[in-house]
Amino acid sequence: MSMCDEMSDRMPSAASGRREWTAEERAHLASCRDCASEWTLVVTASNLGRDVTVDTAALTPLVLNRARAAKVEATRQRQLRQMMAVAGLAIAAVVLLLLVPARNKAREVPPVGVMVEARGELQLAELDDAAPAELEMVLAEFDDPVETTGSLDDPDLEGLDISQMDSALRSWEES
Amino acid sequence: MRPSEPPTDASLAAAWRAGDEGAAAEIVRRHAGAVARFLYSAGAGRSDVDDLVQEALFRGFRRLESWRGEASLRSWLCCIAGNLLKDDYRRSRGRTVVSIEDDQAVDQANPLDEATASESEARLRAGLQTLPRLQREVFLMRAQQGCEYGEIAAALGTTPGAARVHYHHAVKRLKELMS
Repeated sequence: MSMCDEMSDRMPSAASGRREWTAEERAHLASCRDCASEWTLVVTASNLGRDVTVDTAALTPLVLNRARAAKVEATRQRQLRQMMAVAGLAIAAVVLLLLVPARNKAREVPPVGVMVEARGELQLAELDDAAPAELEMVLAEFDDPVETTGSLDDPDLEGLDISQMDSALRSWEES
Repeated sequence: MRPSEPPTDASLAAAWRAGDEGAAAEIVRRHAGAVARFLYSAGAGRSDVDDLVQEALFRGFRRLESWRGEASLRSWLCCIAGNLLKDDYRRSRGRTVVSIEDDQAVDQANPLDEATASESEARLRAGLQTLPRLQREVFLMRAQQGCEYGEIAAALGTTPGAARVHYHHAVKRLKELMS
């Protein structure tokens, strides 16, 4: 750093009276036109507006009243924001409590037994208005042995002769 | 801290935040004059200085929680005042005009010296208005308020190196205007 740079750095504190120039620095100021003109500039700047005064006695209550009001307002706003946040959370919790069980219920798949039972309940519900005699008939149909109803998969071959049985066997083999 | 030592700006700010209005009054007493000089030097009209200082200090108190102490409280308040002046200037569309004649009132006790000093100050003040805003504010914070580059940089949101460059550009330009 050159002497001029060092002088430049020290000028504000020298102009404000926080430091004194050394003999060497004074000599430099006397010989260097660039530093001398900067020094004049800094001294002028440090004195600029010295005659501008502020009545702090009058200013202080004005500033404090406004600052106090702003502080109260800021506190009120903060409390309001906190209350809004709490209310928002409460509403969200209520909505969740209402929606989540309903959604789960809709998604719930009952066990097979329950489904069958439910289906049975529906069938039985259709018979709620049936008379006892009608119910007896329905029950009697349910109670019939499976063998008596017959089946295409289980044809009665007892009445066939040998040739008919042969042709039946061939038709099964071809199919 | 010893009892005889005055409280720091940081402790005053903490006391104000805790509700001590005496601390706030002390902050006003300490810095209002410097902020007023800064505003006047940066181009505020004499009649506007009181209102601008009041507004700058009010804004400072309102945002005091954001002051981290990296910049000195004074340079931070000067920065707020500079923003305020810029807004005021925009609102008035450049109504604030520095008149050299306004500052050439001669003190009868030392007519020659005062007139010379007054003329230099008026020329400097007029010259400051021709600088870019950042150069003007860095120059005033450094040359008038005696702030270090680090705290100027923290207040204005730049780096110490950039603040130094702005200062030297301002000095160069002002030397040309003053010569």
